[in-house]
Amino acid sequence: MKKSTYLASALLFCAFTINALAQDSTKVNVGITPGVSLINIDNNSSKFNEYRDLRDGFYLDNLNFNLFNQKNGLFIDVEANKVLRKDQDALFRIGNVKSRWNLVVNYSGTPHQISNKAMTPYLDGGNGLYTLSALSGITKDGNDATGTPSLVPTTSQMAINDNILAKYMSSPLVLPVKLGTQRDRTSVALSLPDFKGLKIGVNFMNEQKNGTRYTNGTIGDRPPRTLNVQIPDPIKYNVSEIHANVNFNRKFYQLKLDYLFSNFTNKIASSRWQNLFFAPDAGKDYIATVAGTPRNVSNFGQRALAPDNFSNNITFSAGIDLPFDSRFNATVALGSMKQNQELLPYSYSTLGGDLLAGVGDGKNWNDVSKLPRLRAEADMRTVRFDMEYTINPIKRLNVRAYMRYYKLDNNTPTDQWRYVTQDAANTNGTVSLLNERYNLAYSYGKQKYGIDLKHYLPFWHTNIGVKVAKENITRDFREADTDESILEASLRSRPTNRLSLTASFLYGDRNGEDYNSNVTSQSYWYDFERAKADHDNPQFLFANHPDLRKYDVSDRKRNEFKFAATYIAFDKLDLSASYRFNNTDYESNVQAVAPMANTNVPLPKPSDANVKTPGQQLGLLDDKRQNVTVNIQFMPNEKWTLSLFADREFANYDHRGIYFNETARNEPTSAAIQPANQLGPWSDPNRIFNTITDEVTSSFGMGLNHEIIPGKLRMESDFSVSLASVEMDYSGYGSDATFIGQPWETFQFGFNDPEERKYNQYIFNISLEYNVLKNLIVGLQYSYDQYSIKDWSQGTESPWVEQVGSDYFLRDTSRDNRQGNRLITMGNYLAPGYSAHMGFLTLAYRF
Amino acid sequence: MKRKSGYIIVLSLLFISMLLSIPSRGQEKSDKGELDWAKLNAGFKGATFVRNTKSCLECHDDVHGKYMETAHGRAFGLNPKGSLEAANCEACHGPRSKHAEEPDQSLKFSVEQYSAVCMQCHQGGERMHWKTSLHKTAEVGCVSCHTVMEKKSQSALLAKTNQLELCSSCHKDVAAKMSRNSRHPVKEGKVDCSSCHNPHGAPGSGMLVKGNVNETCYSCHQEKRGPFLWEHAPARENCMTCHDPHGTNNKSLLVTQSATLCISCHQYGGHVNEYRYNRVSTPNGNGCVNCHISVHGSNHPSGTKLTR
Repeated sequence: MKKSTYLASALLFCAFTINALAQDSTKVNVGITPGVSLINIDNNSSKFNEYRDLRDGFYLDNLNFNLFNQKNGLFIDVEANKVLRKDQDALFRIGNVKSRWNLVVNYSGTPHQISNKAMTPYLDGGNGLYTLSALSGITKDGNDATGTPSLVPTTSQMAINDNILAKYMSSPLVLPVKLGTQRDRTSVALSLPDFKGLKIGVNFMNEQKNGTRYTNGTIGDRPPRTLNVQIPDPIKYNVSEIHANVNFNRKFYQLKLDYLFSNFTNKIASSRWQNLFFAPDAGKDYIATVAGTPRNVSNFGQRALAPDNFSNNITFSAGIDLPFDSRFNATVALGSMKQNQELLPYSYSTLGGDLLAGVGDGKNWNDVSKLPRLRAEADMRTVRFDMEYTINPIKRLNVRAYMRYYKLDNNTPTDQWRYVTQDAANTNGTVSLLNERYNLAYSYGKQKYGIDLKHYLPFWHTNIGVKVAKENITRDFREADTDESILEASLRSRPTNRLSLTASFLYGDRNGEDYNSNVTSQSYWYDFERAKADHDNPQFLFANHPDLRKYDVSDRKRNEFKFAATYIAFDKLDLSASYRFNNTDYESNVQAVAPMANTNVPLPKPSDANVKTPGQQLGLLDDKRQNVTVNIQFMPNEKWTLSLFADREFANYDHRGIYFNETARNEPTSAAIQPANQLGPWSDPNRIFNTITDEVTSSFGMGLNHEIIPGKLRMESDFSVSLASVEMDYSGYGSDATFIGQPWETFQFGFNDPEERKYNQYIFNISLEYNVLKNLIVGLQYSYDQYSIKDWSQGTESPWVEQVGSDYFLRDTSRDNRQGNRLITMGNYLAPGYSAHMGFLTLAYRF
Repeated sequence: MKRKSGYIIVLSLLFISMLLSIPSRGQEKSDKGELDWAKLNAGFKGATFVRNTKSCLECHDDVHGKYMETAHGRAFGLNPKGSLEAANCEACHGPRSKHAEEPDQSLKFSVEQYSAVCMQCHQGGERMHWKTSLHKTAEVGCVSCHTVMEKKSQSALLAKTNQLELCSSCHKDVAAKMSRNSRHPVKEGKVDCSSCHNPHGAPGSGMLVKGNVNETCYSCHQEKRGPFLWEHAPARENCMTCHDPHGTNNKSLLVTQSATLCISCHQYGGHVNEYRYNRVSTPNGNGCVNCHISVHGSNHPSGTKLTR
């Protein structure tokens, strides 16, 4: 559009504004706060500027403009912070106090820095395509009996390949890549004048999120043959939302109608990354191999990224005041979420085609006509209904009753899908029959109702409360529906004007009704005849171990106790302390079962039908947390303010798991899997492991403010510390060198207590503000910020992970001769610790 | 596209100009929920409205300047709607004829009484569920969080300069989580407590703005909304099965380290439920998510195991 048109519109706008202002008395305030900052940081860590943009040099900390016409009521507010920085905010508000309308335009930028030191050989070809200027050059090893090169090298060849990869990942081919995203959100909200109790508001929001995160690109057969590389993850999102609301308010009742439409668009539909390890066979788009398990592996991996989607939601709420000081609220909300992205093919490459006579359809695996449908057609509908009623039926008694209902219906059509394992097929063109799956339409419905009673006692401002509630959740295609009864008792009291106490205790007992660990059999569609002889038959044998209880649907008992006290020692000193204890126990009375007792799958040893599981519950067993908080606020006079704060949380949770061979489900007594250095049978209690995790997080803070010269010179300082440690105690299978006969560091299933993880942050700020003149304030601030991290899971060296030549190529210390044992990374410790000194000088000038 | 946005800007400017020209409508009758003051506090029995701000300022002039910079001060002063707003100071402090005759502290309100005062005008909209809310049940009132007489925050007349500082005064354990290793940008002011919670009350647990956890999370994480061809059922039911949105010591706001979390529900055998199975991935980096990348749901035809 022509610039002249913009200019004319702007002038017209100004004319109206000036006209509105010209004749009347107008109050205008303008403020500007420029500054200079000096940052000295010892390490270019992305964590320093994780969600902010602090840099050396000049900056505009704040810009504000406020206009108010005291006669006609017009106001204009403009406020901008951290101008032109990635974390800037800007607000423009215009309205009229007399006619009661306002328009607000808001902008907010949010950076999210992930890494400043990531490196990758992948070149961004745009639109989610990642290619390499050269491949690594590792070779398959030898030929098998048929003369076909093998993808699984011998141990000696693997050692050669490791050196090749180490050199490759240390070469100039590996280049820096900035990891981080930027969100820019703009919203415009209009609130119209109230007309006879009716008020309308409209809000439009647009958000762009751009940048790069990191993810993994896997190609090839399942572990340990997977070729896994860490690759950039392109982010190019756009969200547009429109929200309209209508409120109707009367003395005794209020109505509200809300409508929200939200549209998400991902400008990049898929990610494709080149196979770093092997070039495709001549004339083909895949690498053929024969190893113990023959596979054709694609020359590119391909993954669907977050699909475009949209949602609608309409909510109607009503509230009415009724006799006896009571109130009734009701809310109904209807929503939908839809997504109909065009689907990718099963694989990026042909993989030689689905050619097996009598089984395949002859089509290539990258042919979309192999799919049962071409689009996702994903569709969910939600219904929410809430009712609440509160009444004081007699003196000193309050009763509150509520009912909540929520239903999510999944209308996504279910079809039969093949499973191409990470862009790899068998060399005869077939793919896994054991993973022929239906896309199940998970749905659930939740209902909760309860009643709260509160009785006010005639002394000490005391009330005692009892709450009773029941929540049940029904689910499609999940292991259990759940039904929970909840009871809570509470006490509040104020024995003196200075002391107030609160305490509460909650008990919840959830029952995971008729837990069905075989529910996942519904997700498979291979027929019995094709799979009956297969060892690893999750549909007709079992999938998850029968002793497992998934903690979101299992039995659960929870006890929560809270206590808080506030004491106002004298007018100038407030003390408060609180204690919270949560104990959640997922004990589900698991008994040993014989999962193959009634199976029709032929068993090599028929007596294995009577083999039982160990009968020890697997999964999350319990979770205990305690939290203590103390806060002190002291204001001895108008010049001094001191605040102290401390919080400590202790968390302890237990997990249990079991090592077992998934390809030997139908033969738990097979001699081949019994030795200690094998995965073992699902029935062996000696294969069980336990982890007990302890987290201790401590936060301390202190703030001191002092008016050195009241109204003239002011000092503010604060100091905060956050210290966290996470320790895992691992015991059981794989941790005892004596038991397994070899050092657990190099044993392929060996694991032991990892070293403690620590995250510590210290922040100190001190500032002085001096009123040089009535409208000029000079500010001087010094800040110190230190962050340190010790995390075995992010490091490149641990008892079971070692780097090979650099941070960018890791392998398991067992040094197994399969590629799945290796990982090409973008550099772990993606955000290392740092120590930073910062100085700021600001001048705040008010016109 | 540029042309379209240009027209939108021009139309918007014209619309704003129009709004600027709307004349104020003067005093209107408004059907606000005026209190029975004598029922609120027996000290008001027999008192009448003075309806003269100057008589209040004879003693309370010190608060007037800051009060006039607030929305209430401006609205009541310039164009009060109805007799309630026209009472200005007495709209909130009640009929003060007796107080004007004999000024004392006898008509000081409790927190709950102040809330009843505010609800004369502010019961609708986002505050519709106030009377049944968790905060009211916990005897928190309007003046616990708002200072009507002075503008301390950029918006909403909060009692502190920002929401985190305000909500932290009671929810210290939650505020402590905001400093953990993995967190939302609350300290930076990019996410507020009210981004997820309606402190005035909302149906559902936690006073969430959208009534349940997932729909609240989708307000900012629309890319996780799907729905997907392959759903991860516990993620669809409740994001908090795996995440603690206030802050955690683990990556990506997870309640525990990645592999530990996954083995809570997946014990399929082989590599699936083992910390170490002959590959570098499981105990390192993102754990199981090193391969099972699409953990929130997959739209790939071979995404059944969320590796695509």
